[in-house]
Amino acid sequence: MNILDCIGEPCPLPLMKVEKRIKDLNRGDKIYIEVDHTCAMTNVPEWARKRGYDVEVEEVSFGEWKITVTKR
Amino acid sequence: MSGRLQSLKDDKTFYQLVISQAIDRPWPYWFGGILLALFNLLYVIITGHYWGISNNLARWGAWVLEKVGVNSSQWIVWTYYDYYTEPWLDKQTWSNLGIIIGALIAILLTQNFKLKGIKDKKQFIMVLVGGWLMGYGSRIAIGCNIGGLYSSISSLALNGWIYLPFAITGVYFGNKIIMKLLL
Repeated sequence: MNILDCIGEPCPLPLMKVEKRIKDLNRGDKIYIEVDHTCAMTNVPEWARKRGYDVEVEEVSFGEWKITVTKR
Repeated sequence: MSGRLQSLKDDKTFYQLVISQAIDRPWPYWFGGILLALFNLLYVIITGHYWGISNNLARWGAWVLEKVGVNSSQWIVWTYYDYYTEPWLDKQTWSNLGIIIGALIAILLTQNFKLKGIKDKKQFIMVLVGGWLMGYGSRIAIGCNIGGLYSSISSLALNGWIYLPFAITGVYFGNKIIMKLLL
């Protein structure tokens, strides 16, 4: 499982980390990013959609989100 | 149960809808830019001075040092901008507090307010070093990116345009360092 624990990390670190990690993934692979910074919740999905990846955002608990990106 | 009652119960109230549309999501850059310009005009008209942030932090720092016995009010740096024996009389104190309180009100309205801890030792050190570099940098440049860049360029001062290429260079290398250290 590809899990990026970005809890407690401010922008733009979550986005930079996904950008780096996704290079090693194959098409169809999923990566899970755990964030608690509201702007990461906006800019990570925005970046992923621009690249044509599938994105899902789920609020795991108050103020913590799990973003699932599927590489295409 | 009628559909209307159901939707009132499940969906957001009118108030929540307005908040989520107006505050919760980021504004487009052009809209924020126009607002910044308008409020900057207001600031200059009302206070008769350009908007700045970090000079005030230096004034408070010097005030604290004076209290513990350092003769900081005599430093040469005060020939570049005014020293305040009572930094709470500095209007920047209040505009800085306004930024913090305004941000707090916005996050409270969206009901997203949450206290966050420190992730690990590394983040703790990075935050301290980063804050120190920002503070030191803004002092040797006699202005941060607000007083030295934004307010300078918008008041047609040449120093803002000199500030810009060096700030961009700094951001470029800063990013490289972050990538090396944090990723």
